Amino acid sequence: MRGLKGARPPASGHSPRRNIQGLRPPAIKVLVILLIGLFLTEAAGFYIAGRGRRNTSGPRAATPSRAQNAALKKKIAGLSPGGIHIVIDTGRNRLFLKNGKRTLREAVISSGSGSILKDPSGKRQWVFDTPRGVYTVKTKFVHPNWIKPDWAFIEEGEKVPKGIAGRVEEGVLGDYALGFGNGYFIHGTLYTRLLGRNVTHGCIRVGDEDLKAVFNASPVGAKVLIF
Amino acid sequence: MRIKTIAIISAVCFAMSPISWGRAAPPAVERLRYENRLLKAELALAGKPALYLVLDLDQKKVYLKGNGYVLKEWQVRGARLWGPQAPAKPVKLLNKSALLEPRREKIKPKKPEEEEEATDTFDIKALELKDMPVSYSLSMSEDVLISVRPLREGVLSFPARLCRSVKWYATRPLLTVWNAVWGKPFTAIEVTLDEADAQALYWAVPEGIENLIYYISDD
Repeated sequence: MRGLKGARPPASGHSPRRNIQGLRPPAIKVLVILLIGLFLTEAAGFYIAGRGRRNTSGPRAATPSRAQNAALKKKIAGLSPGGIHIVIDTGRNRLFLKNGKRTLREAVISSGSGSILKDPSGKRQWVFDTPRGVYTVKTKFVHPNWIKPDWAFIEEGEKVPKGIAGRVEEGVLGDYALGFGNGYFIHGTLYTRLLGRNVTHGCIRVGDEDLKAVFNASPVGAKVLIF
Repeated sequence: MRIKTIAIISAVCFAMSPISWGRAAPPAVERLRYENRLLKAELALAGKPALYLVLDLDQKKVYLKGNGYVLKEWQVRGARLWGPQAPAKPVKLLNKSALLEPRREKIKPKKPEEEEEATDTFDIKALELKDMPVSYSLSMSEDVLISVRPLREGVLSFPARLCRSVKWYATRPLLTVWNAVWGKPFTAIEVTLDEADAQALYWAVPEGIENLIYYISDD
């Protein structure tokens, strides 16, 4: 009662409720407006997502039959390698020698490390990934020699020779090598304890027995599918 | 009064959500046409010497293929779709992004005077399958975004799923509006895979790979 007794009527004639609103910090108002804006934007997003269609402009083809679609599926399946081919799983470091759908041999391999080497001059860089894609066996060698590329010298901190002399190294690629393009090979290794790990500069290293089987079975032109 | 306003806006939002739109099932003719377009696109891809990915949500599978040959397949444990149907043509993977992206090791060239120490142990510094993320996004051309999430079980799986759902329903509408401002459609797909499969998929798809997305939405 004492409080009421001491209360004064508002000077400007506003009601007390309006006065309370007037005391609210402007930041809250801004926040409320932003929240309403966000809410409306969200609502608009839901609306557009529910109604939106992609522009599928283009010639409206005649309605295909189920038989036509089945024929297309058959055509796609027909492109699959039928004879001897090699499938390489770089994630699990496995090589599969296949004949059609049948797996003839499964081998543990080493594939690319994914590491990066920069030339100290800063002009060149190498990423040691095994390339992924569909390739073919292009070349086959018995007792191959390794022609060391520039990165092999740079990694070892050695001077890069100008010509081919000084680049040839014997006995490091094992007994056989199958080239599938761009200087990449499926070859043997001295580091058999690293089979199953990603340690190479992009080539595929295979143990001796498996390499022999792959080499003998795969003709030049055989498909190599790497993923 | 304020509660009433919020309730009305919420009701409007819910009514406009893609879930609540009553959509008729697509006619068989449309389904055939759509499948035909995708098969023609796949035939063209299979003829190229490159790998491609097929996200088949009808079969709940992801296939990695080369020359029409299935190199690897992964089981889709769950999927969530947002926005219009993905285009019935190949979409290119433009970018892979993850909160914790795997980092490539930089090789330090040896100094000429450096002698290699003879040791029996190898410290392998390489990028391997186990280093791949389990949760990531694949940004495709044609404004298609595919999010891959791991299937988790246990005590924390429910709150994790809840958080993901809140994020999904909060951010997808905003991205839709943003794209609509630029006159572009926005399709988002979230697929849940087993953890090992999510890592294997991240490993297997290089940027630039072409993708086909098979699913018939009900619009």
